[in-house]
Amino acid sequence: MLFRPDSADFRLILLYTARVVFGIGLAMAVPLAVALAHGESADAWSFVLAGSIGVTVGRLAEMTLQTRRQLDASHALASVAMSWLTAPVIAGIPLFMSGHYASFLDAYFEGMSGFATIGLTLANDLDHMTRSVNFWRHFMQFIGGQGIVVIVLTAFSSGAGRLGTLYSGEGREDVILPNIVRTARFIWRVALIYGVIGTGLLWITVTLAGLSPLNALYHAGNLFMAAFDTGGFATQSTSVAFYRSQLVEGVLMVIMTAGAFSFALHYQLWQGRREELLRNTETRTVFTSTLVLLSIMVIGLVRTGTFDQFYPLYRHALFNAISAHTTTGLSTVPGRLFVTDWGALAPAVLVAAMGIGGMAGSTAGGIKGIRIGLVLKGLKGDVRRVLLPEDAVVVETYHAQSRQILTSPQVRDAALFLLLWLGLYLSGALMGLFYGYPLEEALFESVAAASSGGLSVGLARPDLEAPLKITYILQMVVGRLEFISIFALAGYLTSAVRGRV
Amino acid sequence: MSPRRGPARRLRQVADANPLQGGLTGIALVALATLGLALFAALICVVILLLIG
Repeated sequence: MLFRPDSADFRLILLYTARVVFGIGLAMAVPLAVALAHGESADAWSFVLAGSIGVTVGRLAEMTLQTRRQLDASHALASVAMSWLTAPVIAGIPLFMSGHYASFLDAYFEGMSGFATIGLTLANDLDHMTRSVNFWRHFMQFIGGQGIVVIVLTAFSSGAGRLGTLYSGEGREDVILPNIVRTARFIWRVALIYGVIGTGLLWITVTLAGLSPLNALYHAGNLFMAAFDTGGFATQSTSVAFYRSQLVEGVLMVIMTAGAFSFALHYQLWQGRREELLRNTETRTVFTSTLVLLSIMVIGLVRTGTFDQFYPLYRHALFNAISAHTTTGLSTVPGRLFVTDWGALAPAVLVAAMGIGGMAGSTAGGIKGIRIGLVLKGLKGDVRRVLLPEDAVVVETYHAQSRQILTSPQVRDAALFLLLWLGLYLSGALMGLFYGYPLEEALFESVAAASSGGLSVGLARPDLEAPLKITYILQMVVGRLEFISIFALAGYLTSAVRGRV
Repeated sequence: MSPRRGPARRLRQVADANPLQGGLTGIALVALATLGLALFAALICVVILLLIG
């Protein structure tokens, strides 16, 4: 039986949503500073306007929506979903005012693609976008990759106990340190430290590729945010191919891999525990899957004659396989070539790689390596049970920081999520088919949107049908939040209509 | 060493007190893993080119 939520429930959800909007408004001070530094006065005003709206909404909510009702799990999950649906509205204002987007829906799409670290873009004439607006696209990925709700609430809220559900509602499961606030701060510490190291390395390599040092610094910062947060936006329409540099690609592959590692694994690596790389079930699953898929991709590329020399084959196959599997979306070739020049097998592998994705508790999307690993181990256990004598005790284990016994509920949960993900991928593909796009392209773009893979074969463009844009937006947010928060919000809305008082 | 300083306490200290050292160690290990993957990938490309190229 559904109980109808009262006004205090909705006030609480709106209050937490408004706090996130307030945080997004404050975050606009950063692109505002970039705009002022580059003399982009029109964009500076758009950031002032959008930032002011965010801050005003946040303060008004604090004054009018306070309630004695305590935040429970359902409030928290619904707040997370509401926050993720609302943040791109504020973030989209300066994008829309930049004149690079055909409609506010396109700007909202870009905002969602940024925060959810997808990488699909509807920007017109990206190569002539102002620095501040282009920076804002990348900065949204940096904020969203670590988690907009968690950062805002750890900065502005007290009471770590209440943050637990908000934290897990954003698609994170690992509580690395004893409480959520410390865990969230560790996540941001990793992002900032890697940011300094990664941006520094990219600055050097991009400068060596021929850009002026100041220009290279701008590109390096944006590239780091796109790679570590597995976002996939690029400052140029040609993505990574713009730099024509194997060094840049090499550094990016390391940063993309770092982005696809869980923060819990980073915590182990920061202590120098390198054995965790080899023992961890999820790391092994992701690396094995990458190598298997890469092999199939190489077979496809060689059979179609796309590359017949070792070096171009190796370079493009490796970079794009890592980009797809980490769900980043940076590319060394124009996306359209995936369906026109890469045959059938190689793009299918990219779809599979994006679909599987990175590690749980990382900035990457997709089904996640641990779920694939647990389902395969569960399957292996079932096969052993069939083959061994009836009284044999079959125990499967997995390694995540320590050796643990695999339980049936864990396998069931992983399989359930696997089904939900496949359903999400299929739903977007069916919408693409409905609008007359070929199966290969419809599936590619759907998986790219839902998994945050971000590689595109060109369907995501300004003249895409509006219902398909909305479908991709929904796939982005459902995929980023891993279903539960969106289900909670849908449950609230259903209860408001059909629930009993 | 004080008896109260267990392994968990020491781990937290590296992550909290010396984040740059932790970050450098972490990214170096990620780079090592990526290099290993790249070497396997090179081997795969060579073998497939030899077999069906």
